[in-house]
Parts: sequence; C-alpha cells; structure tokens
Amino acid sequence: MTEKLNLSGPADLLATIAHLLGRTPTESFVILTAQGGALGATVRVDAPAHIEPMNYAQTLTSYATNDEEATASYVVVYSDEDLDNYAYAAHVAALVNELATARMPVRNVWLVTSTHWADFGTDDHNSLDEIRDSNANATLVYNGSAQDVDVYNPALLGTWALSVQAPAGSEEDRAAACTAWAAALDSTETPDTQTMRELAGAFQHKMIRDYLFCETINTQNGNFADVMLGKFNGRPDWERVDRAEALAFELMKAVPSGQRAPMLTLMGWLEWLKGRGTQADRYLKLAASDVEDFRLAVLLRELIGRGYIADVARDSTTSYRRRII
Amino acid sequence: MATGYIRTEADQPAPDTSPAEEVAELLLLTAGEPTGPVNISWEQEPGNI
Repeated sequence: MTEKLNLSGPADLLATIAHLLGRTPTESFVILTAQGGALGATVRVDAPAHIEPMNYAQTLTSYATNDEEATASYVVVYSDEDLDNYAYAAHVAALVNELATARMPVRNVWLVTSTHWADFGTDDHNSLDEIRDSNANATLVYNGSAQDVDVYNPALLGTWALSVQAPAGSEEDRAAACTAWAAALDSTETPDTQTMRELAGAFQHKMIRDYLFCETINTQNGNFADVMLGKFNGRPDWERVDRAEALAFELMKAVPSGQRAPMLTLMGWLEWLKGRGTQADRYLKLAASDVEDFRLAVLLRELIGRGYIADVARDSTTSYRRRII
Repeated sequence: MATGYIRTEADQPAPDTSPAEEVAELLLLTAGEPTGPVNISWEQEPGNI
C-alpha cells in the first residue's frame, strides 16, 4: 500500500504510536517529531524515576534531535502514576522548553493512562475506545500492522537437550563457524539438527561468538568497535537480521538451559540495533539469568540502560522499519 | 571514520575479555547516567497530520 495515513486528530495519532513502536508503551514518555504535516521519529523512554526534570528533558531532547529535519514535536506521557497531582508536570514543562529551544516546539502534550486519555494537565477523561476505534487504527490493522510477536517463546524451548561442546577456538574453527552461520542466514531452509548443534556449540566460544555477531551484518567494515555500536557502511539487510533472530531461537532449542545465553545475547544486541531498547533489555536480562552474570549480556544491558542508541538506529535511512502501511 | 580507543594502564581489560566485551566496557567508561532503555522508530510512510 502506498497511500498516506491521514491522522485527523489526537486519537489517530495516539493509535499510531503503538504501531510505530510495536506495542503500547506503559510508564513512558514518548516524543514524536514532525516536519510540516509529516511525522519523523518516535522516541520512547522510561518515565523519570529519580531524574531531575532539566536533566531528563535535555536527555530526551538529545534523542529527538536525531531527526535533523524536525520542526515540531508531540509529547505523550503514558502513566498511571499519581494522576490526582499531575505527576511529571515539572518534567513535562522542562521538556516543552527544551524541545522549543531545539527548534521543534511542542504542538500538544497528552496523557494516556490505563483507563483514559486527556490533554496533559486537564481533568478530561476521554475513552481509550476512541483510540482503538480511530480511523488510523482501523487502517493500520486492515493493512496488516499488529503488535510485535516475540521470536522468543519459552514454551517452545523444550525441557531437555544434550549439551553442546564449544570448539577449541582455532582459526579453522572460527572460519568454519562463520561459513556455516553465513550459509544458514543466506538459506531459506532451517539447518539440520547436526548443523544446529554445531552452530550452537560455536556460539559457546566467546571469541568465535563475537565473529558470528559480526557475520550477521553484511554491511560492516570489520572493525569490532564499529560493528558492536551499529556503525555500518550502509543499511543492513534487515531481513537477514530478522532471520538471525529466528535462527538464534532455533539454536536455543538445540541446547539445554545454561547454554542459551550467547543466542539470547545476540537477539538482544540485534533488537538494540533495530532501535528497540526495551526488547533488547528483556533478552539480555534473560541471557544473564540463563548463565549468571553472562559478561557480554551484562555489559550491553548496562550500556542500553544508560540510554545508548545504536548508530544505525539514529539514522532514518539506515534504521529498521516496521511495516505499518 | 572507524571508531578507535586508547586504553590507559588503569583500565586494561581482563585477559579473557572478548573483543565485543572490550568495546562495551570502554563505552561504559564514558556513558551517561542510567535512564532506562530507549526505543526509537522512524515513520515509514509519513502520515498526514
């Protein structure tokens, strides 16, 4: 479908957010950037816990300025926190000021709770049905947009599998693992059980694992720092990335718990490259629980928890795109 | 331009640190305050507002 989505009011715009982000946020601040009558970036961040309003506002504005074309913005607060006292009012005021200073003045601020939505700072109680029944939601659902479905489904993992052996880590081991991983990513077939177990074994060796991470992205320049940060030569083949996540989950089925952390970490890193910090954090947390304090998962989780955005996700021309219309 | 880092003697990595772990460790040395994960997406087909 090539026609544009017409957003004729707040309910339409609020309905669109869940489709852009893949799920409806909770306890979050969302900024939508705009240029004229077109939307740009959608940025979601956790609602502030103990962050001073000005610091919070400056941090969020720095994220929004990734859209260099933006000339305006919208702010949406998703929260059920202390509604009688307009929780986050100071943070919203600071954010409105900062976004204006950044030359993307805020057109509207809305509050969305689990029971209603309203213009922020008012006592309105508009029904959430208005969002669900909006033209935008109907159009997006009709065109196939839906909430994200997790690749990771613990019910499908099974309860028993033989452990795999990590290779010794020679240059030949690394080359063989990279070749097998690339072949699996380039194929539309699911690898046989033996190949799955060999690949799952290769992921257990941390040096080979890192090379397999790099091999997943075929627009990278070979520099480990650049690859890990999502600084690539061009737009990644995102279908290959999606396939890598699906394959990682298949590899998890081939091994017992205690050997699934490397694949979960890959999935978390790939979600982060896609700009999905929340989902990345979830996978990395699972990795660090599958193998206690799994080092790469712990480090990436801490980095993501400090608001670090992958370079590839900052740029509209290279970023992952959910197909919503 | 590729990303490059210089380690001081005080922050040398552990001997078994992998390249990916080393990159993450280095970034954390200068990372900001904890704010929670960020989600960012870009409109695929700009809507008319």
